[in-house]
Amino acid sequence: MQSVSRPKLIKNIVILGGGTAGWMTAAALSKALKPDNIQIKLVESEQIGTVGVGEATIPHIRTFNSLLGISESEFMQATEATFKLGIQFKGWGNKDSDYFHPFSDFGEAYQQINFQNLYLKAKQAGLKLPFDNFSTAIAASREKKFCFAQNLPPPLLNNYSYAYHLNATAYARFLRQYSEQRGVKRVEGKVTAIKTKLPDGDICSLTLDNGKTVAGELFIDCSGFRALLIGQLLKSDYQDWSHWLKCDSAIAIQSPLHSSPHPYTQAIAHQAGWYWHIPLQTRCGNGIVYSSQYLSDQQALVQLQAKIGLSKNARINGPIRFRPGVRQRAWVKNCIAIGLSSGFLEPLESTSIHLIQASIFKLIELMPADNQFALARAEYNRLINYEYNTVRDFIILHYYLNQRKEAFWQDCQSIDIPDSLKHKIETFKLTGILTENQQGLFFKPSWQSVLFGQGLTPKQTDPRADLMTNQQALDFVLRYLDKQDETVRQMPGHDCWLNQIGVMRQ
Amino acid sequence: MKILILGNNLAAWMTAKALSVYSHFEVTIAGKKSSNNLPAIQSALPYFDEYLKLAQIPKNEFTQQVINQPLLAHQVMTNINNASQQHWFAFSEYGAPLGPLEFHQAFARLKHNRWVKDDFCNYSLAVLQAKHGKYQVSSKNPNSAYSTYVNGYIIDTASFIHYLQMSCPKVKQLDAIPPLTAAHDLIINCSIAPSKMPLTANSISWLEPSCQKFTGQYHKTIEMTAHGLLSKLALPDNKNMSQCQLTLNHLPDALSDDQTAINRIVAQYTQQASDIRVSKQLTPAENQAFYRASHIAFDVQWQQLKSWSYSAIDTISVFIVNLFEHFPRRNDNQKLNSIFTEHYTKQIQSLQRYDQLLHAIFSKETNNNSINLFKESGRILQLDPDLIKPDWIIGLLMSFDIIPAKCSPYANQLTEAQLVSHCEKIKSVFNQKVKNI
Repeated sequence: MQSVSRPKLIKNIVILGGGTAGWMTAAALSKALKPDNIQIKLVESEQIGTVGVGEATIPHIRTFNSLLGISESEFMQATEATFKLGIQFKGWGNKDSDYFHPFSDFGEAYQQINFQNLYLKAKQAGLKLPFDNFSTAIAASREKKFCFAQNLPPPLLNNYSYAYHLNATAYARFLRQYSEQRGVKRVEGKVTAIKTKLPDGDICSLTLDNGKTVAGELFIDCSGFRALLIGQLLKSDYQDWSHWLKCDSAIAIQSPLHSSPHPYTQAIAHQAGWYWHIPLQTRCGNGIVYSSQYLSDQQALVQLQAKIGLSKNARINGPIRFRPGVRQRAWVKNCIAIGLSSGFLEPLESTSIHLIQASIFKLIELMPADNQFALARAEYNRLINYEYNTVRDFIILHYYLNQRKEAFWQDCQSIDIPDSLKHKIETFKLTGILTENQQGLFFKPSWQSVLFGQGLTPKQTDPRADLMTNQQALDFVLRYLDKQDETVRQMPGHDCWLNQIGVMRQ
Repeated sequence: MKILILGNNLAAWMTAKALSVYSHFEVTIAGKKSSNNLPAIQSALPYFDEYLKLAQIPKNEFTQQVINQPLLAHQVMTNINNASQQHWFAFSEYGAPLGPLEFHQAFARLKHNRWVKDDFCNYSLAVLQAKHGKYQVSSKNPNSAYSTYVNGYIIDTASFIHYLQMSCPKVKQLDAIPPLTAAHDLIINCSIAPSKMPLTANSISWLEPSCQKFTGQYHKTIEMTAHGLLSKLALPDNKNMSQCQLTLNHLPDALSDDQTAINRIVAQYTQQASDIRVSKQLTPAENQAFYRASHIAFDVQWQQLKSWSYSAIDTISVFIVNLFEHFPRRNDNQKLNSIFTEHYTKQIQSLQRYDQLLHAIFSKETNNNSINLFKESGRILQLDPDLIKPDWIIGLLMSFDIIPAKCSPYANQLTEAQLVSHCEKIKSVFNQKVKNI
């Protein structure tokens, strides 16, 4: 509904919360907006901790950093970052399964015939290798190798992308410095009251425990799970997705790095969830994600400590509770929720930072000049919902498509998954076809990696693939493999590359 | 694999050509030659490149073998309050952004404050070329100004069909439709007869002699008339004839079969019309391409949908690209039907949205979401899938002086002098580029 108040220019933007979401938003807005035109204030309290465990990213973060004009080496040094070529999933199909979701395509097409079809034909001719053997990113990951694709000589493959593992607290600190240099004003304090105005109910100011008042025309709620503005004040409905995503808790522990860092995240399934392992330059981020219905906090902690071989003295972050889901409207009145306040699925597939970034980009695109923004708001909410829904289906897929015997996993197998996902799985199973949209986060190779990795093989191939006999297809995929091996052979070790480009912290 | 295509028409031959890339497909076209009531000259959107890629038709071969020329822009002519105006828009970006500030937002601010008198279209390299009757192939190098546009095509239908027939000699042809037995693995029916649903007359098309200045231009002209939108296309090698198509606002059914009445309408536009045809079609909401248990259906009506912006070649291209993305092994694969129809319909709908935008502008519709969002925020609705790029829509809207009502916050933080200087720089670069072509 159109706001009934008279148009009022936006001159002050207030961001509530200074975690990763808050400072990412502040940094992006400070880059786009000049402080003498629109002032940005960020309210945070040193007394309130941040979740700060989102340490694995996906390649889109590079677009964000480049929007800010951040130098990669400066960023990597500040955040102790390492490179990431994908995620290793252990024990997700059955207990022994081990596959990768890489930031790359699989194989190469022939006469516009998708590689998947050639692979399936090669299998009929006796190929025994799993699908994920045909990815440069995966092959390099397994060898702990890395370099930028453009640094490889031309005849070699350069069909992969990369992201980072980073220290999320350091990233927020880095972005804070960036933002403050560009005029963002940090205001210390805890919110004690929120003032709204009539007749539209828009937020007009926040009152802090130290007596300060922070006024603005646009408010960004980055207050995390508490969702102070969007949830507690504006009562934006939360769509609960916990019937699809059963994990609701996480515990994080840091550990020393014992060997050179591998360029991939590990997601290792356990009886009631999974562990993460994220190697930074000098330490590892570890954690356990679990369903509290199937595993107690105490059991989860003991299991995690045993898994990483740490003493009980290690600093523990958690248990962190979450309810998978999304706000039906992330933008209500003059308040936009970004980060955990707008929704959270779970840490799998490292989508948290991406969803923050996607929200920021949409906001920058639709940034209103004044308080008359009803259509822009509706468009923003539509786009953010679309983004969350596509990520949701992909995450559910990992749980649904398992062959494990434990009660938690058995229950995951029997959930009534969303129709959109049901349709996608059934079509793939019968025909091998994966439908794809122009927008959204996960494209064909991502779906292929999980579907094949967790044991689903299509019954059919594209009839166009019959252009080749099974034997010809086998020869084709093996020739590709040779090219891939040669590519990986010429890549340096991940740690060597980090040293070579001068980003390794001494 | 044996594939039978029913219907000896443009859709059938375009499909056969794409299938002939795969030598193990035995393709047969069955049916008497049919022109499908297609216009002699058609335009194709830049999306046609997807078809060329799929059918592995090299662009230079297409250029040499088929009578065609690039389509860079549209020129809409209006006559409001006895003042004739031209509105140009292209398959292009306009100007260049300034950080987070998109060019159209910068332009809108200058326009609001009357700092520019120029038309927005003059910041498109494609429009400038079209206005000067020049053409330079677009570049793939993102740093080149020539990468800011793509081109569609103006195609001689008969020449295109002839090329398709000549370039796939292995395709068998049968005059009569054979009994539909299990002898074929896949049947694609490109000649489904019009359904029993009521059809409405949608357009009148004819050929007329081209005026000298019009022939050989890289644009399509569209004129708002009392009967609806009259679009004209010409090709230099097409016997100096222009293809005219009048997309009717409304034509009473009684009149649609009355040739004298039709001729009277056409006579208001030209005295030298030939090959006058009336097209009738279903409402666009009907799905007219789908997988059935016995065949894949592609309704003739759907192939003939008339619009100022897209043509039969476009709908056929969308059909074929989708067919290849959801290629069934047999006709009884019902699983693919819903995916195919969903994708195909959404893509066609994106073409229709673009088409309707011009009608909405002329009819001054107040409830058009795209226009309203653009006015409020300067943004274009992002729908998925969309075959029409946001920049093309921005160009169309801005050419009709539909500009964002408020200045973008990013525009507000620059001085007008900075924005003017930016515009002048772009104009100077683009003008020089066009001069050099």
